Amino acid sequence: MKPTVSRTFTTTAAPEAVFDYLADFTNAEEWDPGTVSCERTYGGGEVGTIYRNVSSFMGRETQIAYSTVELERPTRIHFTGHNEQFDGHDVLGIRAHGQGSEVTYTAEFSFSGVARLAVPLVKAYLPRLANKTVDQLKTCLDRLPSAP
Amino acid sequence: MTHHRHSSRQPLVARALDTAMDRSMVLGYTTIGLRVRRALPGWPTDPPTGALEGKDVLVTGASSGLGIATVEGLAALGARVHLVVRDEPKGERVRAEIGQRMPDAQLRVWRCDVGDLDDVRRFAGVIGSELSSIHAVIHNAGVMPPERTESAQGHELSMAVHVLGPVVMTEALRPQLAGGRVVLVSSGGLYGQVLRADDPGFLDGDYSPTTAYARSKRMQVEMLPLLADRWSLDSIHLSAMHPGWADTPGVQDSLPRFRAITRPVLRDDAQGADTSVWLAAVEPEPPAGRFWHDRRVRPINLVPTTHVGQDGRSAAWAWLTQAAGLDQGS
Repeated sequence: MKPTVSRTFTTTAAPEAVFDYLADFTNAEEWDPGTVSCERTYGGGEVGTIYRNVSSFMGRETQIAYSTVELERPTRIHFTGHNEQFDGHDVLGIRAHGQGSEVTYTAEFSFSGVARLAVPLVKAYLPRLANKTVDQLKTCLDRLPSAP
Repeated sequence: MTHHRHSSRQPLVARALDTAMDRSMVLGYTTIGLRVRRALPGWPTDPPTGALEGKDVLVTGASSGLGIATVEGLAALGARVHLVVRDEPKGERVRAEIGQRMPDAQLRVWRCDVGDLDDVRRFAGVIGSELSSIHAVIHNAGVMPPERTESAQGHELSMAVHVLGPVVMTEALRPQLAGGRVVLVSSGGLYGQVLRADDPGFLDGDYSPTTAYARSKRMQVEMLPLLADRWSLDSIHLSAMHPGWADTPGVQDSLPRFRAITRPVLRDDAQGADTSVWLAAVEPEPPAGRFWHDRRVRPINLVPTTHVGQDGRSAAWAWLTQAAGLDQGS
């Protein structure tokens, strides 16, 4: 089983606002504590768009190419990340919930080569990382507009 | 997280016992499980008398087993219940029988073959033009074909009846269901199967009725959060539940050995239908997109081998949106 972590939380932001913010992965600079920088290298945000993401993961900086593979406004966003030693998925499910949204964030990781040795460590570290990410993500989303 | 709203009312010891019974299956899914749970402190309260007064609720597969008990449970809360059945004369007989037991029940019979997507769209058009508002749909219709069978549209029949028909019907009734609730009746059998997005038609390997059945139920719960997100935009509240081990015609015909062993502790239909009725009527509305059994949220995996990755879930969603003809957002 690939290391996976999933968190569900609510935000005051409307689904469309959540979607538009998260579908632009450059905003990961703001909401993802692990992202050092994120820029678009191909495309305009639609499916097929590619981002160059520099992440700091357990003390090391690593560059990951992220692609947008699914976008269903305003309920579903799916990015995949790839480099020589890492494959990952970031999936966001967005659900209308009162005037705001209920968001489920799922991250899945798999490693190849030497990085495989890190799997137990990653599994142990994931819950803490996830909590930190969700706290920051929620703070960013709560600043967005809620439903009229 | 919002789902704690319902679980936190229960004392820790009672919750631990409930969970232990659930994981043992034999204790939790039988009549023993429900009886013990009802006696434990913190059992979620019944919906009040008349909770569904003046509301229209549809029940598919309404002419046998759990379906009949679901109709009765809803009617007892005052709902106008629409029995959606494949065999209309049988549906009328059932309606008459229920009417004798419950003279005040407001019941109507509609014909629809849930496995035939054209017929589902026809039915949704007819009932949707008559009812401007539908409070709930309980997708209870079930099949366990002894041989691999294809639906009118060429889908494997258990997948068509348990997944595609309910999705197409709900999608077609979105305007009428706005603010309402939808329940997918699933099965504890799904715990033994992994999502097979690569083979939704059961074309690989030897067909087994119980495997096909459980795979379609697995597909229901894996797609549950995505469908709940989609329909939340119309304030439609989607849940799935499993009834436990009930002594239904499906079990009697398809699993005679299982029944011979477990019969003394199998649930009756009303016990199996309890959570569906509760989900349709309880206020405040419980959190959406969850999988329920005996009025509590349950996990969709009990063993690591049934966990599926994001690739598998995406592939299943792509198959479902195509097969059910769901239009995609931008």
